[in-house]
Amino acid sequence: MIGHQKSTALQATAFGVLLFLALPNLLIVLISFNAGTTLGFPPSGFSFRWYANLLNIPSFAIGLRQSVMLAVLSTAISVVLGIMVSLAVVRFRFLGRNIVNVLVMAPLFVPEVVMGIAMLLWANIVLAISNTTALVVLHCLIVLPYVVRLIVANLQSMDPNLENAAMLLGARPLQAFLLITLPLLGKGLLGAGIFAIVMSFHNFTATMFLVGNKPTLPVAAYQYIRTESDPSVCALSTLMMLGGIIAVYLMDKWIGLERLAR
Amino acid sequence: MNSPLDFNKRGISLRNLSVVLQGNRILDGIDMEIAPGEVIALLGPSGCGKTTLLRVIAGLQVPSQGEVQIGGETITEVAPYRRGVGMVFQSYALFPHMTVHDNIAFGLKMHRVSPEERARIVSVTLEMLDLTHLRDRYPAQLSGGQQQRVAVARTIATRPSVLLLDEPLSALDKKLRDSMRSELRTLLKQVGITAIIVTHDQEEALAIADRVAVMERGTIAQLGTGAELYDRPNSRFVADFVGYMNYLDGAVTGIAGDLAEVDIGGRKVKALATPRCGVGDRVEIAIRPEMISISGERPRAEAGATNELTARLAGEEFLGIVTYLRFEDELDRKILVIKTGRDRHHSVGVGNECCLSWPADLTSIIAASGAREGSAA
Amino acid sequence: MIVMLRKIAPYLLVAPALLLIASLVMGLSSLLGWSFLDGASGNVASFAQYESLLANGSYRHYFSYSLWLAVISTAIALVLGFPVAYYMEVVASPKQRKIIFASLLGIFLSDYVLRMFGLILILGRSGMVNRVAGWLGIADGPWKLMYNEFGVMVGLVAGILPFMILSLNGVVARLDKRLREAAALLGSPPWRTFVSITLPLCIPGILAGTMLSFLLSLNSFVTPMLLGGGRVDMVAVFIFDQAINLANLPLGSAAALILFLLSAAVIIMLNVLGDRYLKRFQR
Repeated sequence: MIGHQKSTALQATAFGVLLFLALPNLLIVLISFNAGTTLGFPPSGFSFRWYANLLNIPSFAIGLRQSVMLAVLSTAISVVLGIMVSLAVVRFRFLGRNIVNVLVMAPLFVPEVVMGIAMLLWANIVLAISNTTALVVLHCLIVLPYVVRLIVANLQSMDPNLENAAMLLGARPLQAFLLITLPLLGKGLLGAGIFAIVMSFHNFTATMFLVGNKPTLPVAAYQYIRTESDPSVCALSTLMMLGGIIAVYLMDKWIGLERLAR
Repeated sequence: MNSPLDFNKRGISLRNLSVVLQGNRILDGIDMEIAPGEVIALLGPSGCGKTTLLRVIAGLQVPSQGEVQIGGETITEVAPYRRGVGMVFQSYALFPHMTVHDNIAFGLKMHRVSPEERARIVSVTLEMLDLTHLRDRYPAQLSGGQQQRVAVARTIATRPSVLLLDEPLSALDKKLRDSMRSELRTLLKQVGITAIIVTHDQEEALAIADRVAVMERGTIAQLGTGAELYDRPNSRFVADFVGYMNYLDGAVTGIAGDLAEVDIGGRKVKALATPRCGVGDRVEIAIRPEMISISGERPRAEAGATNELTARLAGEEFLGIVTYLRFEDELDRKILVIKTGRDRHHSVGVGNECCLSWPADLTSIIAASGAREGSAA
Repeated sequence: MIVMLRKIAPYLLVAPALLLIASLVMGLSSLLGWSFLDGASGNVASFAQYESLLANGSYRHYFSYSLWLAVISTAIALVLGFPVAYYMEVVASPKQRKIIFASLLGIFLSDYVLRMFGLILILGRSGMVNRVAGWLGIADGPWKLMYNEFGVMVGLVAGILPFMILSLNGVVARLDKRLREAAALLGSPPWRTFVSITLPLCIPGILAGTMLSFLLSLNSFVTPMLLGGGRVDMVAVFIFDQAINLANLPLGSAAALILFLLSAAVIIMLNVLGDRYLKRFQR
């Protein structure tokens, strides 16, 4: 139905835009292997020196540790809270069910900047909590809506009578949950977990407000970019991209990319 | 025949059971007594409350009012995992991540049966339902009929005192349904368990159950054996739900013993008197199409043990097993006569008149407004 | 006993998550409180901060300029993103589509800071564009593509495009091609079919994508910081500056609240528009 001409123009446009999107990342990978010391294009020579140099940059090591700690903690907490909320919202009919739904999704509607400064105020001034604790809370807030949405979708596609059948066979509610619901949710939970870890790991703007002298990895990279101009950041970035590719692969394997599209 | 598993079958008592959800009376004052070992069917259109009633007995729905007793013990508020009630769901609800063997063993594990005893019971159950060759398969690898058998096996392995089945055959195709019907009844009787089956299919209800409760909008319209419901329906609803029925309106002119005399427009017929009908009441008399005989003779003036009237043959449909003969009487009311086999041959031509006759004691009286005349329990 | 447990179970289950959300609510309340603080007079219920923001021209500029940048970048993203979504869902083979989708997801999940950094490598003085332009001889001196509005615009568009495309591809995928065929059989030229049939059907996706992209641009922090060189005035940068660098929490809070209200207003407005549009087709 579409004329041949239009199709080529469409194809060209689409690929042009996609190239534009991919170019920054491609360039980073390219320059990470630069033998020279500048960020200029094109790179001169081929070398792994900048990957080796990563070990010499203390802020990156600190950043990695902080980011991993935050991601794992906030994901773990959010998944547990998320399972509880999803169970309540999908399997029970109670007063305030809709309000709970809205409240849990609330962090999605608050701009990161606003969340950053709000949590800064809450932590340091109102409750005098340590920055790290506040960061964990912040990351839990950021990640929770995504986790709940994914788990709810999974729960809704499960036959509600499975738990009932288990109970009639003698299982107490907790047993029914652990032996039936949880295993069946399994893959969905893993997918939600990976998504949450990625969301937390890459969070920047809100995190900037609470990060003291212990930066997360994106913050450390940012600080490095502002002060230095060697390709170390490119090496770091390439490694992070590798991690991202593994994450996408795992998510496809565990939830199927189609499910994420909605 | 003795079942290799013994079941402690118990009776069920429902007293004034009501369920009100968001302003709707889903169940309204249900009273019912079920004897141990009896098989009861709950029959009715969708929305009549039959599945809700089942769930109340299972413990999945708490009633707003009323009491449920099993074996004399009140269990209205007891949790489902403590009731000793088994349920087969319409979707079977087999655990997809477990094999057939593990599905059946699940209940036994929950009841902390020892591994040896567990193995024995699972083997026996697998054999009873002809599933031994499928023990290591997963539900997704089974056919509909096989899944249904696993669902039943899983439930009876724990030897419940009551078995509930929610539309157990509705997910199967027609041929399979017909053959599984008798298998199911045989199994239930062999095991000797008290059972309640929910269905919207009247053939299924009549074939599997000892007694059938026809439900309408949250109440029991009539509870009785298949024959009772068929021969003596207490309302139009019940009569229409179980087979076809002919209705002729008239007024009661007299009552003599068990029979009432009804004037159906110039002609008098006799019908079984109901406790509440009185002279002058406007009623409908009801007669099953297959009970009507055709003859070429003139109808008698006075009704005796047989009712007679004149009717004209308006149309004939040959459907193989049955032939439908559509008549119209002197007042142009429609009467359906069903004939099978050799009886389908007759000498009445379309458009001609003849005499229709049927026994008085197979004629029911139904109140004209359609309200019930009191249930035959 | 069991009845009572069943009644309170849902409340027990949602309590911890609600506790978490409560911290956000508390934070936003503190924000509100701080915004009414007048540092100079010590007054805790004054509009001084808001007055200051509205009266001061350069402060106002942050808001108006951010809004303007958001509008333009969203419009560009829509124009560029639609062909990609259309190609992906309508023309591409299933295998191609999966590759495109996976790449988009990969970009979506990759680090935002580093993507902007990649743009520096492209737009910078010794970056790809300038070097290539130099080889081709089309420039006399290096172009200034960064640390200015152009750089920020490129960054914004690059940032929001994946979101726009992923919002659009849902509606595009659900387009019934028989409608296009029917239109063609009725004599409609392709462009006309696109304008009168295809586009209107995509409006829910367009609204969703627009809303998402607009908010992302409006609230953008990394892009103006890295690609703007401190010369491009966006609100998020202003807020961070006030709160962290200048320790002027009251002013920062007030600005943050205005930004929050602006975002909320955009969400509500676009939702209402979307509902009204859909209602027209529901009888």
